[in-house]
Amino acid sequence: MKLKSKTLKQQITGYSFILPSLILLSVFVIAPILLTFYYSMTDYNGFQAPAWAGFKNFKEAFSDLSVQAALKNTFVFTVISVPVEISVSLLCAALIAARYRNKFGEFVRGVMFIPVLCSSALIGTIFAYLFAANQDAFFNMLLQTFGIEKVNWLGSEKTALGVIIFVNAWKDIGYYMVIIYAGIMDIPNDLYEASAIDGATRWQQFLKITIPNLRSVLFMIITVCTIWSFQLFDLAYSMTAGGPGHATTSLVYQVYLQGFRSFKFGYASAIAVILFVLVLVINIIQKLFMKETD
Amino acid sequence: MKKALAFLLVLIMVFAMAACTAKADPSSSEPAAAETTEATETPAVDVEAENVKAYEGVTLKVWLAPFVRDDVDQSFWSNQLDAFETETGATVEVEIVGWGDMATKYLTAFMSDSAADVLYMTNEIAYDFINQGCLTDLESYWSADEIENENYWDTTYYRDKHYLIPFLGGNSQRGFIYNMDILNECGVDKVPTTWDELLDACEKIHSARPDIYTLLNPMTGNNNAFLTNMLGFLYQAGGSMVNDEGTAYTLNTPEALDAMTFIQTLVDNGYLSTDCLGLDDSSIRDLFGEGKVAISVVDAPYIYFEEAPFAWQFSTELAKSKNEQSACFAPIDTLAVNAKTKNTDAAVALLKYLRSDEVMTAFFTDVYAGGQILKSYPNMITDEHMDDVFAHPERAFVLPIAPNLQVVVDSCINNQQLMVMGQLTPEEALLQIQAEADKAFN
Repeated sequence: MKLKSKTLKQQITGYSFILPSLILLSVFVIAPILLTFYYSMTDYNGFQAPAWAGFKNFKEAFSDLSVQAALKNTFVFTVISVPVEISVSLLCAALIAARYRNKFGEFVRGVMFIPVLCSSALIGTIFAYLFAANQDAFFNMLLQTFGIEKVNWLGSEKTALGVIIFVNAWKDIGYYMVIIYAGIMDIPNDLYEASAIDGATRWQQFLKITIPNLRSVLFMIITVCTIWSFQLFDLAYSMTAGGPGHATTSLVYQVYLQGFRSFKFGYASAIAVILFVLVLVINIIQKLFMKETD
Repeated sequence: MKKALAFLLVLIMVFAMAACTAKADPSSSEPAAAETTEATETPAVDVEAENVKAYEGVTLKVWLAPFVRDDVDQSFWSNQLDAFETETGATVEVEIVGWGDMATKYLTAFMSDSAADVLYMTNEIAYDFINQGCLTDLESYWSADEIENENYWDTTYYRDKHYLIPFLGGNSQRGFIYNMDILNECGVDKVPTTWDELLDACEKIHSARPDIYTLLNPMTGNNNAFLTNMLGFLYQAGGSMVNDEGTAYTLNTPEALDAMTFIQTLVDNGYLSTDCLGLDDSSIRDLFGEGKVAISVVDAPYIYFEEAPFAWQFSTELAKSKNEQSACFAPIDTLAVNAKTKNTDAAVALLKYLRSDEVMTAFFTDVYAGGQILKSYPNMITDEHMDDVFAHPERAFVLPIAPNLQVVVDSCINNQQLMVMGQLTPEEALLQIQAEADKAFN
């Protein structure tokens, strides 16, 4: 009896500790998500009370050319961005950890982190100038020094999304690199020393020691990178406004257009729910894959 | 030490209480909102008649758009409103709302009954707020004499009501700008006035100067892509965005097809470079200023090319053919009054003060030179390049007030881009635009 009441007391104490966070989380995260699900089933326009519309918004979304293009672009963006960003960050972090554990390494890490601190809209605007279509723009001048014709980077559907992937990678790599670097620093040095005695090369050490010991870190940043990639908005907004045509539109951009430019909040919520479900499914698959490989 | 600390805390508490009391004092220069509301509903009667000001105790909020920088605009309006506050006894709070945030901010503010009393409006966002009863019809607040003094009064009617009062514009017509040095060098001695003449001029420039852009108009994602291309040519072809009754978009019409086909002809012949899909407005202006573009479409060119090292001419005189009216897009931004304002008279007085001769003269001098919305405004733009604009206001066409206008404009931009890239024919582009536009009215 005494034990039971002690457990109850402990439980109450525990719950009272998490209560403030739970309240905040419920108000600012859980309630908006539930409301979004509700609005997605209505014709809410921001002015009038929402009227029930069932799955009408979802049917419309799947037959909407802009949403189809956004879905495709978001997938392509994620499928290219995540491996590129993670592998480049991993290589940079490994290189700095192996060769430059000195002032120069610190400087490089600092410099690579600067873009992370900058506003995406600002970066987008600057890169839009650098990637302008005229021959005097920075990247076209660069091409011309190698005798290559100028390219209409942001005005062609073949290159516009690629440019955004590049700029996004330039911005985010520093962040992932710093996290991976911290992970590498946590790997015991004994492992490298022992393997060196056994005759392992640097590449073998990287594959057999560094990567396996970074599993949890890599899983975390792959998850974060995937989620962020699905949220592509600010660069597409500031560099191309989703164009040319539908070449760089994304799901979040469609949410913005439908919600805040045409006040179709019910429809925008339906697109947001589609995005939510997609990210959730991919995250579950990633988790299962990690468990499997464990 | 403890005593000193206790004394200090007591002192702070006393000061804080004194400050609170001062704020609640009705004679305070910045009355709290609650008191203001009360004062608004019940005019002060116990004050000597000669000291009573028209809107004593009323607090008004006004939201305006930025023209230079938020802080510059904010400081300008705050200074200008001092005289209004002194004269009327009202307190005015000015806020500068960014162009990109305007629709969202207004929507959320109207939903929560916290929108300003007087608001800056553009036609792109006006319809929904009018349709939802957020704005007041102001027709009855204007006398015949006042209407006589208006230059653009008729452009902002919506179904015989006047929710929007012209505020700024009249000098930003999207006209063609020509580098006359290049045109003359290529054998074009006068600016084109018809589509055929424009094609002829482009052909001569394209052949003689392949090293420069013949024609470069903004075509990236912002509204200028539509306003300077499809809309301008649509008006020149005799078309319009909505029907006369204002009940449907008319974007898949023979006139619209003429406009889109003409754009495609310019592209197919290599006159209108597809680089415009990857160059924003300011890059195009820079290139024109550097003498690398022969023809472009810009607004208020005297702002950008005052010191250009070449002769240039700005003209709104382009028509489909000699027999048709020349036309171009002209933005007229407006002011509106919140339907839920607690004191409509005070809000209207503020609105009229904001566009009074003296305030706008100061605005044109210190912030942004605009056109003559009122006939009584002094003409601040004496640049000879702008003569064409002021001599021919009949060429200027505004955007209609129609539902989901911004979405329809976005659709026009997207489909125009797809057409220019060769993915859609003009007919297909118009079909898609009209389908999107029909949804807006449904």
